[in-house]
Order: sequence, then structure tokens, then C-alpha cells
Amino acid sequence: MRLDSRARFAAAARFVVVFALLAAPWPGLGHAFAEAMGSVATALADPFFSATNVTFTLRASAPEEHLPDWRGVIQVKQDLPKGPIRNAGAIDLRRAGYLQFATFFCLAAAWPWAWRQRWLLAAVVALAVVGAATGASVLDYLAQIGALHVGDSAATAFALARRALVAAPGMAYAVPALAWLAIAKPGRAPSLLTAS
Amino acid sequence: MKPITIAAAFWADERRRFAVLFTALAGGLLAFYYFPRGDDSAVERFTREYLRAYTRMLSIVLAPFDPGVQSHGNLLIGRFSMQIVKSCDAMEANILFAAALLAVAAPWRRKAAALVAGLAALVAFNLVRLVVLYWTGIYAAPAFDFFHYEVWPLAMIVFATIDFLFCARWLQQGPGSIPTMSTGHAAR
Repeated sequence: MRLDSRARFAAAARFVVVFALLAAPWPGLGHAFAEAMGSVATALADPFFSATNVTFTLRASAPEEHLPDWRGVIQVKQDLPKGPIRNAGAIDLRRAGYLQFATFFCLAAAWPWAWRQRWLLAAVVALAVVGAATGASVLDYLAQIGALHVGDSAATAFALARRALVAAPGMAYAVPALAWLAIAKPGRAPSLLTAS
Repeated sequence: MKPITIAAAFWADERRRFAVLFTALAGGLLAFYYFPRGDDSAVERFTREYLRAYTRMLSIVLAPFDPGVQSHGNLLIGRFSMQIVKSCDAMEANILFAAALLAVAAPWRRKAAALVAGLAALVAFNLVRLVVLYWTGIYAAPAFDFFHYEVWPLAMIVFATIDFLFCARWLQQGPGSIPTMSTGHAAR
């Protein structure tokens, strides 16, 4: 049965309410998200750098660094014969991870019947979208400072991915929405909603 | 079953064909626009001119409300100054809209007409976005970043989606029909 206008309006209203809740500037949320993302990214990167001279850390900013809440700090140390080289950069994890997650979560909340039987797939896709946004930014930075020797083509691909997925503001919403559309079936209403 | 038969069966499905074409077109156009190339390349020179034209257009739209506003290159100078750079033209929304529309199966002449009208609507909506951001910068500067990076990009993508659904519905109606929001079924 097709989705009727009442169900569509209710879904849109749920999207707006959940998005407003997630986008609101809750105190401490940015720092907590940056800490969580930092821990996961550092743990995931560890096996790749364990056999190299590079030490990579992504962490939440410290109070003395006077950075906004949502900034993650990338710290890279390269051990070279002449002595270690240290680089540090900041990454806006709200635009490179959180907004993508929030959009996906809002869509799932707005159309709960669309992914009821495939919640595991939805969770995997959501993680992949968030990982792609954060990963593109981190990999581009690592390639720029020379901590990642991947060749010109891969470095260009990282730069392109960061520009297209993260730097373009609309893509923070478009990418999760398209990914969600690919796995969900929001066009069909549950029988409960269309029975009357 | 032979591979060619499987491929033909895959391609015969309208939704799959749309998904493949949309992904290829959107990916190609996004890669072309955001490709990191030198400032002196022909594409970047064209983009700079395009952004200058966008800034001039914005200053013309703003002039009746704020006569002091001027454009210098891609810089808008007035009670609040703005620099129009890549992405300020909402190119990602334009690209996604164009890719989705081109991927729809419809006569090319109608598709071209829908593309021109739909892109014109997107440019108009983006000008509204920039005008509102200009006034936000004057009267609610602390909220500027929130509106710039979070509210308006979402609004642009929602508008591009509605624009596409409207154009796709018109494409699926018979030739010569007038697009309306209240007739026909949603494009599938």
C-alpha cells in the first residue's frame, strides 16, 4: 500500500523533531563525540601504523588548546634518523562525522518501518558513512603532511573525497540520505497507517 | 544464464538503471568540480568567473534592500561582507539534482527543459539563502555559522529533492502538460 499524506507528514515531523534534538548545542556533547571518535579512530589506525615509524592519535581537544568543542586533534609523530617530526592538526568532527550520523539516525526515526527487518544493515551502513566522512579528512591530512606514502593518485583521491564529502556542506546530509535510501523502503507504509 | 543475459536483465530494471546512472553521473560531476587542480587551470578560471557572476547577481538582488552593497570580484561588501567561494554556489545540490534528472528515462527534449527550469529554481533558492545569510550576518552574527553550515545546507538538499520530484513527475506526464504538484503519482 502507498504511503498516505498523513503518514508522510508524521514522518517529516518526526525527522524535524529528532534533528532539532540532535543538532541542539547540548553542553559536553561535542567533547564526548570527539573523545569517542578519537578512541575508535586511534584503535583502528594502530594496526596499520604498528610496523611503521608513524604514531597516530586522534583525540578530543584539551581545555588549554582553546579549540571549539567539536574539534578533534590529530597528532602524528614520525621517527626519523635525524630525530622525530611532530605534526598536529584540527578536524571539525561535527561536519566530518556527527551530522552524517544525525541525519541517518533522523531518517531511521522518521521512517521506522522502512528498516525494521534490516536494522543490522542500517547500522553497518551508518557506520560506513560516518567512517567515510571522518576517514577522508584524516587520510587527506596524513597524505598532506607526508605521514602516509600512498602515491599521487591515492593522495588526490583522498583530497577529492574530503572536498566532495566533507567540505561541501550539503553532502553531510545528502550522502547519509542516499545511503539510507539505498537500503530502506520509505515509500511503503505499514498496513497500520494505511488501513483507515 | 549467460552473463550478457544477466546484464540485460539487470539493465532492464528501471530502478537499478536509475541507481547506476545516478551514481555514475553524480560521482563524475562531483569529481570534476572538486578535483584538486591548479589555480591557473581553465576549469578554475571558469569557476572564478562563475563565482564573480554569482556575487554580482547577489549584489543586484540585495541592492533594493541595502543600497550600499557592492561586489568586487567574488567579495560582497556591505553592512556585512561575504566571500563567495566554491560550495557557496550550492554546486553539490545542483550536481545531485542534475544527475538524478538525467538518470530518469524520458525524452531528451523534455529532460533538457526540466533541467534548465530545475537548475534555475535551485539558483534562485540559493540566492534567497545568501540574502538571508547576509541579514543573519548583520542582525544575528553569532548564529551565522549554525545557519551557514547546518540549517541552509539541509534546506538546499531538501529543496533539490522536492525540485527533482516535481520535475520527474512532469517528465512522466504526457508531452505538453503543465507541471503541477497536485496531479499524478510520485515518480518511482
